[in-house]
Amino acid sequence: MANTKELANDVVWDLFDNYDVVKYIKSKSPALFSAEKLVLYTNTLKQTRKFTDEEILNGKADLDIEGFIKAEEARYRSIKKQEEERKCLPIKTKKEKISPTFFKRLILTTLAGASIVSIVSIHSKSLKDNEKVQDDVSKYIGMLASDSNTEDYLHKRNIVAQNTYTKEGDMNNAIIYNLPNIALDIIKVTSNNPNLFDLCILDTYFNLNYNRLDNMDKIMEHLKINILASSPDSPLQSKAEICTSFLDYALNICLKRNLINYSDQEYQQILEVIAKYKVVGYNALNENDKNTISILVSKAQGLLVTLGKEQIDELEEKASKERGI
Amino acid sequence: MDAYVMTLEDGKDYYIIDTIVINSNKYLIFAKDNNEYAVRKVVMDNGKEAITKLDDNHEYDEVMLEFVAKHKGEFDEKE
Repeated sequence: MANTKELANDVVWDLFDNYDVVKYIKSKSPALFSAEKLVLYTNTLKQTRKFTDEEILNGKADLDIEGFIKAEEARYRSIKKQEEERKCLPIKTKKEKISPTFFKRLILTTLAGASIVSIVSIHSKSLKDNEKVQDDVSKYIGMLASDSNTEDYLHKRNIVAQNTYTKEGDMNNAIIYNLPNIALDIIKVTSNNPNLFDLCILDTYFNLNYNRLDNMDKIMEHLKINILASSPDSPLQSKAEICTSFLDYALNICLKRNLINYSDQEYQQILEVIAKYKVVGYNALNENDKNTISILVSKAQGLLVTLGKEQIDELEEKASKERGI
Repeated sequence: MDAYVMTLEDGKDYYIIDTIVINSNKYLIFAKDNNEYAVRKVVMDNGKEAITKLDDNHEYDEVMLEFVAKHKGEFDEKE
């Protein structure tokens, strides 16, 4: 479930600079032509150099696109048939003795995994078009910042999840975010309270379903152009750097864990810090947590510079397969 | 401590680490030591309890949000 979505997100962002082409192909597709397939197909067209962007936009790839859509329809029917035939699995369990430590590790692993894979769903609506939602988001962020724990915590979190970005298309279709608008939304929310900046950035990252760091880099770039560049030594700049480090760290956990050779103890620390952030917010990280992040990020970054693109692609594919079942 | 293990559709054994109830629907959270985990909904099949995959991502999100909220306290206990 999540693997496909994450794969699609990766490809969407790779294609973000070719948005017109994606949009053109999407216009040819029926509703069942999913975002995942749309971007994968667009990528294939480009990688195989069958058509240039211009040729696609001029309709020269239309026959190819129609053929692909037919194949997709057949695949869709096949999947639906399989789903209909899917049987329930009777609950048959056996008992096993395990240690409480091991059990806690299973919980932590799942907490962290749930965060990595995506804990929020994607819905439409844009924060910038909805004043009430903006207000809700501000209240939510303020609540996080004050470390309060009210009953509607999850409700507020969902509001943020559903509105901190713009999505075009319906629920089952393209997942294409408007990065400049996200940046502007963050500026709006934090304009009267710069202290909320880091929370806003980190929540945005999580709400983007742990999307590629490239995407957050683009958002950060917009932020720097708009507010940070004017005062490079400002507290906001420092916070931006902290956030970027954290994002690097999170990405490395997602994709590079197997090559970095973290020890069991380090990996346990990683899980705890990610899960703790996800549960109680960035402000709850203590100095030890921050030091842990700093050390682990350095270790990961040291490795990253030695990796080639092919290795990274291979790791991404592997990591994608590892997430969920 | 005792843990319950069940073999899922992929043929692998998973520990049942939690039960989540949302709107009268019961869900089981499964996990393995190698970071794999799964969420399944409990349904009645011919009068017996069985599990099935979730309907969509939204249902999955709801369950995992509840799971995260439920285990939030574990970190406080540690500190």
